[in-house]
Amino acid sequence: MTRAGPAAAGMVAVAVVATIIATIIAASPTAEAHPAPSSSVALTFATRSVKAQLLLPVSELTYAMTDVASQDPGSAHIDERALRRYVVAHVSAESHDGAPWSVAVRAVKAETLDDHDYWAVDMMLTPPPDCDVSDLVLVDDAITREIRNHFIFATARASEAAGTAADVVGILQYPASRLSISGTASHAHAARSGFGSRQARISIVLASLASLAILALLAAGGVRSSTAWSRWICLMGESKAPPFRSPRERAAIRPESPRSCRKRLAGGIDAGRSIPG
Amino acid sequence: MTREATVLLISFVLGLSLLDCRHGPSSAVPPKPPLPTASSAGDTTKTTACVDAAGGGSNVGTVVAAATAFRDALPDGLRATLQHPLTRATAIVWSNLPVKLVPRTGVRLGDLDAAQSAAVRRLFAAATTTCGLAMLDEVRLSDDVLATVDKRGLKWGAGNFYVAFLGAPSERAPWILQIGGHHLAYNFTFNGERAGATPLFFGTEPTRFTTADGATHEPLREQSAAMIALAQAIAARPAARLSGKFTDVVKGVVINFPPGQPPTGGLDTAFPLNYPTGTSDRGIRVDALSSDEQALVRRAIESYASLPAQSIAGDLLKAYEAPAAFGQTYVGCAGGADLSKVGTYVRIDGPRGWMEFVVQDGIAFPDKPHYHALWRDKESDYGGEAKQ
Repeated sequence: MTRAGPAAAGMVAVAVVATIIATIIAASPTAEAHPAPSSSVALTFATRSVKAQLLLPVSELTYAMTDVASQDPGSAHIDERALRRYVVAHVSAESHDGAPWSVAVRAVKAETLDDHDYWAVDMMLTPPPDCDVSDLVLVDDAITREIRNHFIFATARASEAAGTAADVVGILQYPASRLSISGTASHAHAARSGFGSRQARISIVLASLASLAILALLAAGGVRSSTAWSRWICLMGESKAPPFRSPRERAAIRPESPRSCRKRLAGGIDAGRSIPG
Repeated sequence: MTREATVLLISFVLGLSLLDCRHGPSSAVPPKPPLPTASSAGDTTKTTACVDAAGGGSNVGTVVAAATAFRDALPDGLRATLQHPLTRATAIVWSNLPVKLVPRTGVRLGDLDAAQSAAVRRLFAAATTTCGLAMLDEVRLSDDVLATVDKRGLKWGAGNFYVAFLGAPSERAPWILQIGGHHLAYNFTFNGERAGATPLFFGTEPTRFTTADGATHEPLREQSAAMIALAQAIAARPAARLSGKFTDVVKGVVINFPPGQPPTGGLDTAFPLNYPTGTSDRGIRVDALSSDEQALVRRAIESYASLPAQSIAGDLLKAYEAPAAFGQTYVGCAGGADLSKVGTYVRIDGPRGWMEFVVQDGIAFPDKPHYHALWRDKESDYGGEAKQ
């Protein structure tokens, strides 16, 4: 290999990776291919409240709000006022002892994601004065109350700080409508302690160093990845979960085969959760 | 590791890993679908008895011999693509969605030459009944109809169906024969802890079509007719009406939708599943039905359970139709009890068996509804072998 070899190999690798990523993005599923799109709710913890951002597919919501007797799936007309009423009736929060939180709809807007129309609803969930923000039970049966095959994906993150990761904390399908967030209280703890922003800086530095190491290894060994590489990639994939995974849980993570890992990373196999109901 | 840093790093290394992931089914190879002939596709105007397609009755040995012959007909590279370990992670990789959205495991049927296609067909025949084989053929044919209107590169088409072995074919050790593509998932387990014919998904769009040879096809003709006859028989009974609405089967694959990201996935990530318990909102018990209505339930159950070979599904069918279990089975419906009405839904919910049928909106042909159907077993999906 000539002196220019390592740099050239690195640039080629970056170009190839960029092309592959662009191809993957271009090949993303279209909403048209999903006759029954899911909903999502993204929880973001703050010191004294939790922001809930809902995405409700218009097609499913319209069908959900249609009078069963009319037998006409498209007959419901949803305006913003009706949507607000519906959301307040179907989304609430309480503490584990049953104390109700105050719930307010802050904003409603239409969004198009992946060629499918959604209602985006911003809500604020606030516990009673004597309750901790981490003591949260989300109660959400929007659309699932009416449509039995509908799913709600719930995620949570510790704060709004840039770089704070969101974890899938549960998937709701009828008749399940309650999601206890106590198991992920570290979200709230992290929000109070400001853990996220500092971790972000450390992580970016670590990631940069790791990337440089990868480029160096590429230069030394070419771009063809090996079993060891794939295993390392898998372990990095697991790191998406912390800080919400306990040391004991992390110790229980077994090394994964390269083939299984590639499928998991490509297919999102590990995103599923047991669904009550 | 925070999100941005993780995404930066993961994207980088994921791209590198993909550089070494090209041994899978090639999308660059033009499809060469080994299309069934008009006769083998089944003349849907005739009533077909569902006998084992291999003739003379299949057993595990017959399937293993056919599987081994097919594997031996493949070059080394494709053998590696065909063979995978049997784990939960590999078992749950099936879907109703097009293969562009959910890549399947195994060898792409469109990549096989004539001899290999003949070998794999002998394997399919060994593992299915004439009805199960016809279902596979017909669903693939319906996908060829969709391929003519595929403007989004979803990889519809008869060639884009796959076969995989999870675990090595054996007469004693557990293994799964996975056959799948858009609107079809056969997951047959051999030598498992339990008899394993499920999860078994089948569907079709369009529901009825005519091929160039003039033959008319209705892939789910028997199953849709059986389920709708049941729905029409019980729909007037309040106890049989299920609450809610249905736009798809309930216990099917899960499409991930993390906030801020497009939907992905579409695998059986929810497995193992929870099922309704108690007596509420499950429909009406079979032992409360008339003998004529009970006959309709049997017909519907058998229309699903007769797709795999008798050696695979025979014990399950016996268990479902044993008097005690059959009497404790619930049947329910929702929607219009009409095959032309989107939202029509029928369900059989037994002590073990779980069978769903739903009329959905059209996707490729928006003005025409299409069908999804699912058979699961509450105790023996994947033969009890899909463990962590």
